[in-house]
Amino acid sequence: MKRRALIIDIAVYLALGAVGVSMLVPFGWMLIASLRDKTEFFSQVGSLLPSGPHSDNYVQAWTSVPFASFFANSVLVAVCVTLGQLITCSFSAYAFARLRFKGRDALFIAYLSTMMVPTQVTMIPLFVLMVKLRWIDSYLALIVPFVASAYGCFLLRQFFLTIPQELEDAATIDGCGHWSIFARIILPLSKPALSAFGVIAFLGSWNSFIWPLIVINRPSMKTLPIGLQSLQGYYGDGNWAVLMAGAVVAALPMLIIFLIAQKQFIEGITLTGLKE
Amino acid sequence: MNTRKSLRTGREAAAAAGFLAPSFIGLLVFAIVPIFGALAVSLLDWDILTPPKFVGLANYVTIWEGLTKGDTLRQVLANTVYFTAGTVPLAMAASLAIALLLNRKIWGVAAFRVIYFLPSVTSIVALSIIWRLMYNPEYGIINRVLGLVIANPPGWLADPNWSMPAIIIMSVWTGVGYNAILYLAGLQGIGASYYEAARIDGANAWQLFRHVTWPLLSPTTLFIFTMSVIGGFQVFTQIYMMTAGRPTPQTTVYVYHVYSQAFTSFKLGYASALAFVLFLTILVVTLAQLSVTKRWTFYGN
Repeated sequence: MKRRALIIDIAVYLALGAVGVSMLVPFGWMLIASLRDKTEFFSQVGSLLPSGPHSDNYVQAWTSVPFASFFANSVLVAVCVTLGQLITCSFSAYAFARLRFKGRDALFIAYLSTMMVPTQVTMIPLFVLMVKLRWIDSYLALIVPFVASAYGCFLLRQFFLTIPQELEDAATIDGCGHWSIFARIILPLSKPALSAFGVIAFLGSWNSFIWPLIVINRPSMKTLPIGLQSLQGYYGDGNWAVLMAGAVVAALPMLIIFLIAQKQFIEGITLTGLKE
Repeated sequence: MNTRKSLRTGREAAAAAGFLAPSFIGLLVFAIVPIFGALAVSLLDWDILTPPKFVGLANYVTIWEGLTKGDTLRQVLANTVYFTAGTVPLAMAASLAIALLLNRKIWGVAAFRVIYFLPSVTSIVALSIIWRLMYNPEYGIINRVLGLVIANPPGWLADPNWSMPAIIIMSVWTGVGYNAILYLAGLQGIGASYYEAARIDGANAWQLFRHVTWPLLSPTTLFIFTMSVIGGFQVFTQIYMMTAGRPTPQTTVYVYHVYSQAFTSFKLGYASALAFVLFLTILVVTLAQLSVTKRWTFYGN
């Protein structure tokens, strides 16, 4: 019996390991490729390791397109969108979870139904709106449309509902209004939910592609994903090493944030699954 | 008492209005009004530079004719169905298998979970660049390895027959960790008592899976299935980055078509009509899921 359990464990490890390797190979290949000499790819005798670390690929990726601007733009946009969503979502979630007012449930359903609308439907009228507002090639176009999120409101509302009502009742007796209950009781108790939603919101903004592609043309205003796309347009298939260096620079910050805050990521994802 | 109560609810309603205002304005302007905007634009012939012309349902008629007479649009729809039908079952089976492995209480499982999730936090643009180069028929790592085993490895993205399978493989690889986490949460929500009861009845591992895990997991399965189908209809970034629809039209999918009609050909009206049809399709899929969830799924009593 014990031997059988051991065999099963070994089989599980082998399966996990095989999947793990297949997940890591593309990342490993990216890293190795980014350090190669640009001619090494095209030699028929492919060696596994680069002939030496050619870090000049990184310099070239950084200087041939305004990579520093891409980076700064991505950070600025993702931070603003995340903060904005945390504020608007926690506000509305509190109203839906704790306040009684006429038409609350109908309004909540209206909020939820906006989640069913695919971005492709709204992107054309929103593009027209951006043109009319003269927001094309501006931070406003990248940030403002995403400051409200029905999804975040729903998520935080579910969490707020689990906070015991008695805490608030005590505060009400002490003469606290809704704003101070929200700020002093609800928010401090909701740190896990806020951080889980925060990392998911940040991730979504950091990796968003189709909207910046539509509203940004000026190179200095590009975010990392569309900047990387322009790097591919610039080098085509001519210089893989520089492309890979660009991919590393674009991917690394999020990977590092993930390794630090994995718990919040996994929690945020798990909450998505409980959406029903 | 009555006036005090109404005073209290009045004050509460005023507070609610304050709390709701920012998100309400945001959703109204950037989510709800644009739906009607899309509907309005879909009735126009408009390239945004010259004044719009009202054409009624002409754009929808064009779509209908495109689908029935079998031009590009029919091919685009077929490609989208191909992508979705290829990605969803593969990704779901793989993510369930991975979740079952991850659910075992053995040492080091957390590290594997982190590794599987790496693609989900990486920009699809970066992943597309990596995979496009890996798929290079001559110099990419995939054919260098395959070349050792078989004589003529496929041309992947350069080959009309292999370009879509190549994108499907990459997309499954990208999404599997995310769905595995969802499945894992579902698995961990199943009470140990069910397994104990089944074991007392003498069930083997397969019977446990077939009669306990699978039925109790059905809400998760249905949720992942619906989300994956909707996601499949909306695939864009990897297509844009890896093939740009080429070899035309083998990998031109629906949203890529919408994008290029709107922002390359500047047929905003026609593109809006296409997008609106997509919206209705997704709405039907979602409503179907909701009603099936109510009827079919087993909520464990």
